[in-house]
Amino acid sequence: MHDLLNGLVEKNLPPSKIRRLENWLIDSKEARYEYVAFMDMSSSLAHYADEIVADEDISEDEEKTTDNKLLQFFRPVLGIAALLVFAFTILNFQNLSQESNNTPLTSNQERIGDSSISEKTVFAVLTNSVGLRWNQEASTKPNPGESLDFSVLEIESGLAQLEFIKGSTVILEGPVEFEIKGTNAGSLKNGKLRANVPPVAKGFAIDLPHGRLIDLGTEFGLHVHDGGSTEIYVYDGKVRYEGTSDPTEPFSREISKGEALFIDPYGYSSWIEMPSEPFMGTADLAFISMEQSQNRYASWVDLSKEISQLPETSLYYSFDNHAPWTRTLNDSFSRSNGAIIGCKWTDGRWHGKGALEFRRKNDQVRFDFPFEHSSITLAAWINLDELKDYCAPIISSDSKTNGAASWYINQKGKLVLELRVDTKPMRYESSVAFRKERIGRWVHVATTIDPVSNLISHYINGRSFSREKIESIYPLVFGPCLLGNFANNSFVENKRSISGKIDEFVLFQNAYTEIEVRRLFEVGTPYEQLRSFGSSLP
Amino acid sequence: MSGSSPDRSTELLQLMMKYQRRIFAYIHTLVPSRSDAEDILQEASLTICEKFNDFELGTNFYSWACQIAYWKVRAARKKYATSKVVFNQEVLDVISQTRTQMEDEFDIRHEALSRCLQKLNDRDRRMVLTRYESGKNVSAAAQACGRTVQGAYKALNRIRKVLFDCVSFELTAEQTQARCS
Repeated sequence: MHDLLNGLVEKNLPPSKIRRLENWLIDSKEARYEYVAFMDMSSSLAHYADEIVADEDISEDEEKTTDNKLLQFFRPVLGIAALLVFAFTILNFQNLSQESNNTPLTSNQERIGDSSISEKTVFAVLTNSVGLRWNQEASTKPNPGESLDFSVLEIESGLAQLEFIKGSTVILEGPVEFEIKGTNAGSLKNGKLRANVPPVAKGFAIDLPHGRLIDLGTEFGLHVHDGGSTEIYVYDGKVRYEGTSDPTEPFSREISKGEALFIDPYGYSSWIEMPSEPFMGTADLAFISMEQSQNRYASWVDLSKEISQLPETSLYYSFDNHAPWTRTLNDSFSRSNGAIIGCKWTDGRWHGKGALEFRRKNDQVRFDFPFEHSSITLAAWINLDELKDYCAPIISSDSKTNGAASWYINQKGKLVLELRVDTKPMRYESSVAFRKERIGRWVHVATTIDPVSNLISHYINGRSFSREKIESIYPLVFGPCLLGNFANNSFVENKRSISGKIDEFVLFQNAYTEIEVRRLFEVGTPYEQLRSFGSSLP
Repeated sequence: MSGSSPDRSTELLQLMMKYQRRIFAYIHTLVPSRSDAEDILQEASLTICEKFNDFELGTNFYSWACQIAYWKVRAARKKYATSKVVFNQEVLDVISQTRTQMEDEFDIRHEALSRCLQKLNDRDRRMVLTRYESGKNVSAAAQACGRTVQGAYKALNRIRKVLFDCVSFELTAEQTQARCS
């Protein structure tokens, strides 16, 4: 009996044995009793397993009360920082494969499984940055996650991490000018870099003003000064420098662990004890990056507290501080707590910040918001997995009264506020805001209704995206409504969940100005803001 | 839930929070695959929300919700044939009846299981709990415990048997104690 039941829960019982079990269950009361007890144990195990995973997250902060907890077996996995960096890299590669395919993907799993990264067209990926500021005149100003082929990177200040397709990692420390020349080659014109070259990428080469450095499996730092002099320092392993002094005299030097070589502006080499300045490594960058991320999270927590205390806040789901097994989404005023149906808790903009993932068609949060507002601001942080055949609902009213609203992204990528007016939909649409580069990333969306200026405004990532005149005279109504899915009474025909994540939703009973909306975005963004992108486009 | 008042919504929330695990356990008894049972729980939850105005407060919410769940399982059987619901209708009915008869002991079994889990050695406990984490499978459990997948299958069979016997023993002990006191 136990063998059959084990096979059953693992879904590998052949039909003949299922029939045998069926006969047994019909014939024997004892078999039925044993079966029900076994399956009940199975569901209890699932409950405890999920509870313990959740417990780990909570107890990580608390570091206490282990005695009185019923179950507390595992401790959090070590090296969360390393995992973060790894996950970040994987995500970037996912984005990369997405871009190179130019085809929307249907799920994270499919993205992870995609191995279509082409060595022919992609040499390296910009995987991380801290305080990055590009030169004003730089021809290329890639975003983190962007794939690169032949390109010259001119950084005014800050750090950038490049991962070459063959496996080398390079940290550029601004001010620096670096050229990507292949999947395993680059050229340092000016500035500092530190490279980590795993054995698989042996032969990684960097051109220097008077020669070429060829890696023999190692970690090294390079510094090209303004006048063309160069310092080479080897942290681990060995490199070979092939240079030419003035007049043309080719020579070669092997530099081993702990050794430093100085090349003067005329190409002559000499041994030095230590480089003049230290080089930033991947660990330094990961640490600074994580520190900055934590700072951003802490800033958002402050903002979140502020929002929950503002008199104009009418409904606020911060999605934070929820135990992963809870099926209630708390409104900060507890007036409109939502019932979570189907969707699962996951990490939001930061590790440890809660978010709900809407994956299945009917995943949703149901709640009641029995207030009407003529002036309003809707704002949310969303992360879409895809936007292809269906609209992506953020909130949708099930009310049939005039002013009943649905707020969503349509298939074309436009942010839409849809209001019911005399049994018909009145839609206020932005221009196209969601293209493939915004899929899989956290995006801040906001829409305001301002009866004073008589305008409905849409905002993407804190920037005004479009404005339209208000044509409806009815106040906005939600009543019984859904977060992350369409209500039955909305006008959208093909209904399904948002297919992505939501990790913050707020409704203010006044119309925020662009400056106020931008603050919500700037404090809440999980990404570093690259300061050279100062255009008015969102 | 259209037209329901906020109070009514709160009641629904409270009841769902209280009984969701048990409703899931009921469905899981009829649908042995956890992910399939979760899908049906979701369908049932939606209907529970929609029909909640029909539910009379003071009556047994769990029984009412299980009736909805039962019909969802039946509907799933029609819709997906045996891909989700592997048993025929006759088996579903007798299992459902048996579960109803055993209802009083499930809370005791649930509590007993937590004690039995504590009696396992660390590796076995990790193995079985990893296997039962949401979205995890035998391969994940094998990886977490440094075993082959085949070895993990065997180990899980053994661990489930140990736990089942332990829970049965605890239940008997508790029932005996209750009779004597």
